[in-house]
Amino acid sequence: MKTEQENAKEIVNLLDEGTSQLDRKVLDRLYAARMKAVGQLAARRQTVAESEADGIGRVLRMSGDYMHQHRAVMPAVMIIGAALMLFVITQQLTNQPAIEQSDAFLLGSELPPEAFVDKGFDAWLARSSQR
Amino acid sequence: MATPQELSDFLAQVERRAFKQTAYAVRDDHVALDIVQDSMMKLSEKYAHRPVTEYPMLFQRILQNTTKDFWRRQKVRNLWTTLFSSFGSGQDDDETDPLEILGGDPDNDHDQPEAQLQRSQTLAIIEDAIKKLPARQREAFILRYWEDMDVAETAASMGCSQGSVKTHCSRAVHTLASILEKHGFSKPGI
Repeated sequence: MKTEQENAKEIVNLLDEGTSQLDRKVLDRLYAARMKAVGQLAARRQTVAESEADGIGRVLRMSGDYMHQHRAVMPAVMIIGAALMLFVITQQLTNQPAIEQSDAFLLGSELPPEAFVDKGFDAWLARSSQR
Repeated sequence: MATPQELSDFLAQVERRAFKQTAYAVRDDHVALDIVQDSMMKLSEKYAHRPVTEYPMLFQRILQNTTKDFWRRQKVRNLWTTLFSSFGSGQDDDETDPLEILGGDPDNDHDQPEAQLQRSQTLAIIEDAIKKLPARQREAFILRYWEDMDVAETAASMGCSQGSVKTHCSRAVHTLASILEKHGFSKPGI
């Protein structure tokens, strides 16, 4: 008594023989259908590749075009920008000691002489300078 | 996304079985070819981005759904064709020459070896029996044994439980084996 798998295998072998004996017209139509499906995929892949390249290229092109159109003033813009940055940095550095000196003067001029011998005031001054 | 070569290789591998499988279901070679072509186009259009390893199951599902769409469209037409076929000459499947099914040349019958002829007749009997199987049994048998899917894959393709797949397969094989035995083709290798 054959098992289900054995019976199935015999039947499938027969069916495979049947597919090897298909009519020429059927085989030609199957081939044409396959080529049509593959052609559709190839065309879509081509479209996707072109649109991706186009997107990135468009951004680069726009940047390049802008810089090319304003190429005469670009060096001047860069120099001005660098100068501005330098000015800001130097201002930051030179203003700090002046502010500290003025603060000290104000404090010193308004305080009575007794304030300088009061140890509690020193502690308060230390605390407020840390804030 | 699969490459065109990968898609082509897969379709070349399955197209003959897909045609035969559909022909068993719809009993019309031209319609079967149309269904297979539509299924190939759908796979290419909608599922080419899926991994190639999923193609067998996807293609089978598409094939089945496209076949069901055909039957839905035929539902109304069948009422009229059934009516008119009773007046026309019609086509009696039982009287179909098995050699015509195989595409052989009837004029060369007398040149075929006896064993080859017997095998051709066995094939015709089996194909006729497969056509007459209940649709779910036929689907289960073809997917499980002819497409070589495992039970889980077959169940996923058919949209049923694994238990149902086993039941359908068992009944289908039992029916087909009984028919072979009845026609005297129960020996191994026949």
